Amino acid sequence: MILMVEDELWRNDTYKMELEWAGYEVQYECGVDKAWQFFTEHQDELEAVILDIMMAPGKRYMAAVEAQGGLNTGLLLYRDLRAARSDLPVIFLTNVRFDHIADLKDEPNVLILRKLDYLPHTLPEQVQAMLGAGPEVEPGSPALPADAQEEGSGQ
Amino acid sequence: MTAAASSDMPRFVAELLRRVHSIEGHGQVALDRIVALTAEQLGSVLCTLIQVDLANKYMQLLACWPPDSGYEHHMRARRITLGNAIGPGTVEMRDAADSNWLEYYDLSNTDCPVISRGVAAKFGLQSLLGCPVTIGGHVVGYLNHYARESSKFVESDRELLDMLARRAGAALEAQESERALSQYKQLSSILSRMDEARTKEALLPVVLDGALQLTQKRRGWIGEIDRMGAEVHVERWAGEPPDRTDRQSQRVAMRALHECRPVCVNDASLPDWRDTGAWRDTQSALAVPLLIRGAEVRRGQKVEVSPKRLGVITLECCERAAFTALDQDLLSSLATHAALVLDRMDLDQKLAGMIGVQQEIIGKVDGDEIIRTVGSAIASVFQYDYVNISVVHPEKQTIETEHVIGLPQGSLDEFRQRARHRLDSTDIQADIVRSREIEVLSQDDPRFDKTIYQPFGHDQLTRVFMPMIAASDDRVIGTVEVGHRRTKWHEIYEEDVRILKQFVDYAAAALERRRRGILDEITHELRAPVVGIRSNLSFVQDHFDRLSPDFVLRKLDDMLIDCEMLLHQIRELDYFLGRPPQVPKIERTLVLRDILLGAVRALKSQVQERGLDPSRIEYDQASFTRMGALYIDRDQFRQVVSHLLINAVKYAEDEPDQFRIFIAVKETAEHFILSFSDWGIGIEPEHQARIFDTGFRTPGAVAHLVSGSGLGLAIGRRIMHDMGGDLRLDHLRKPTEFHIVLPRQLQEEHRDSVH
Repeated sequence: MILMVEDELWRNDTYKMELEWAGYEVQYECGVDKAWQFFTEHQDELEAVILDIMMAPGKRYMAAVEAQGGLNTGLLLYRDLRAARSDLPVIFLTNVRFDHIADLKDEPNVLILRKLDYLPHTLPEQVQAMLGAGPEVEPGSPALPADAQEEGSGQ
Repeated sequence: MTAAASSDMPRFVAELLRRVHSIEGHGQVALDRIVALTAEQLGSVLCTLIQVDLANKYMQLLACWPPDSGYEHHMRARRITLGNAIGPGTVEMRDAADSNWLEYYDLSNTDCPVISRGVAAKFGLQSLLGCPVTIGGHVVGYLNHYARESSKFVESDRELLDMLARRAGAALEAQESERALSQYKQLSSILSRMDEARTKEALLPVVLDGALQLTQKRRGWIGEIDRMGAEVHVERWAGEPPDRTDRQSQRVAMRALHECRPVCVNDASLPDWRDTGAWRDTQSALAVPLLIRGAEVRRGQKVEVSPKRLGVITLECCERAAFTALDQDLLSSLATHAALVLDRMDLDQKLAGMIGVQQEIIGKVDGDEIIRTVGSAIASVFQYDYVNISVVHPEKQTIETEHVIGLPQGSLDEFRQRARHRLDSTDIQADIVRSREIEVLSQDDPRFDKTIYQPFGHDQLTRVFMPMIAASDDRVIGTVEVGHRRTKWHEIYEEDVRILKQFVDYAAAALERRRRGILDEITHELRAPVVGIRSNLSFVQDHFDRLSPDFVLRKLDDMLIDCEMLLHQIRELDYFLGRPPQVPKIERTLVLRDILLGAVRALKSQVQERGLDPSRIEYDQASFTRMGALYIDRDQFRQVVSHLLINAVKYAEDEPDQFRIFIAVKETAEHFILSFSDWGIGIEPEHQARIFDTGFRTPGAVAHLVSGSGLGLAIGRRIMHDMGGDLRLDHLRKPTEFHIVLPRQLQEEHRDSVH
């Protein structure tokens, strides 16, 4: 299972759908508080986490100066996730310039992708390359939301 | 008559030398023995050793033979002003000093610089032979031999007197050296104590008490220039309270300040100095300026050296000629050091003040507030009478006053109107932007705008102009102009300019950071919808055959929403860059149908995604119907409505049952009021005053949702002002209620009646 943490899914749900289309099970959580709660309950089930960087700091990071009012929320969540599971693959998928987290790309199991450079259909390839194995479900399986599929298609 | 008449000269001389050398030391005893020996050897009826101070024109009896004589009682402990003692028009002491020896006969009928005719007659003195007593070639006194006879003095008299006068000179020199050494030791100790003082209040007592201690006087005062030099305020005094502190009584101090040198008055009864002194019985005064001799001042674009006057120490005494040359030296050293310490304290205080304000600026995000804080800090810390901060508007190619302190009351609006200059104009502000130089202008500088110069009192000011340069791209973003009234001092000191420059650089960086921060926010907000549209298009294109029509329609809706968002952001960008709004396009508009319903529909996805129910966005349809159609710029009004709705959704509580937005129209005699109520996180009372400030977002808003430029409400209010209405915050929490105020003149029937 992949945990996707994002504040504006309505705008970015195509990334989620592409992963699901490719056969990955994706759990979406809006905001760091809900994401952390889900992680603590399901961390052993997670294959990877996809994070935005600029997100509301929520209750968890509201008092953290380093969050810089939300500019670095994803980075703080990443550190907490890694502290709990040091082997957890993490993909930063973001709209912001990531000069300030560029060093992270040298860390094992970390990928930084800018949405400007990666269209939704390229995300599954990146995830697969990172995880080293394809999803359990065959690509093309009926993973799109019910309202997305034309009747009789997707098989 | 004299020892010169002795027949056994060698033996006499040898014996005399032995006796002269046997006089030990240099105290009063030695001086008394010298005059006694002189009188004995020359057969004087009176022998005196007097001290003369040619610079300060006074004389004083140091030793006299015979002791306890009437003459001694007459003269002892008196300081006689030379010239004054013997009346105007008589022989000047300097004339006598130039000729070195005093030789006078028939004293009761002759003018003599060291004794009046009356005194000579009283004590039966007929002739005088006086030998100068010198130290280092300078006359410091006279050894005087008075005789009852008027017969001529002979060469041997002169030789003998000269020998004893040399011994007197040696004794006086030793005495003076010892006293000077002791006083310089005292001075050194006082300077150390001055260095330990941390405040002006702690320093001034050390300075004044030290000055009195060094000169062994009891009264004096320290005056501070009122930062501007026209007046001297008595900051501290010693002794009994001063009788007066008016300008007349401060003439010695003012002259010392004006001439930048110590001024000593030995006789305050002289016409030039009558009524001088803080105390009515003052007879002599010594004033030493507190000044930095090599201070740098800015003139034009150049830095030159000029004295910087800080204040004055004035010591006074009820005796005439109470101050010596050594007193002047000591007090000058003391004053120089005191001035350095005072100046350092002043600079430290300014630096501390500026650093304090810098800390304050760090927490500010609103540019107007940063500018206001900078302006107030410059006025208070540097005590400038006038501060004007102007900002460059690149899109308009103008420089305009943003904040000004020190204008005549009620003239601010007119000033701001006039002080708007094109960057290619010849006005000084525009020129500073081009030249990037710090400059202090002379009164007749042709770059002053004549429509401003006199009407706003600028002809009374000495001003420095300074560019505000953004370090990030070396761009001049504005100017800072500060000044003080010419009735005060005329100089702008370079130390002040340096501190000011440092502060202005900091303020420029803060403004630039805030500008870049907002630009980053806006570009992020622009990037998000662009990426959203592209992602959706790409997805639909890749999978078109497999997607249901409803899903495609939903994605098209999402893309339309993102397009609206883009337009919204572009309007914010226009606002931020200062671009004037486009010419209004007035259309007949039914607010509910043409604006509100579309705006609500556009928010549907966001509302649903947050697990909230779009049907809880409600409106009072009947009240909209009653309002009817308005003639407004639909795009502009949509911007205001959309922003209020977007905020209400963005800052909704997470619990679905708490989500509700209610929109209704209220009516007053003059206005329609569209009230937007939501039950979201609300606004804290302490942020109410700033909620419409450009770039401001409450901490609660930032914690809840990071994206947002903080421009929306500021833009909304401006749009409504342009329409003749307003945007107001009516209630802070549960519900948070914003009011869009619309004048009834915008209503359809009103418009018809007008036409």
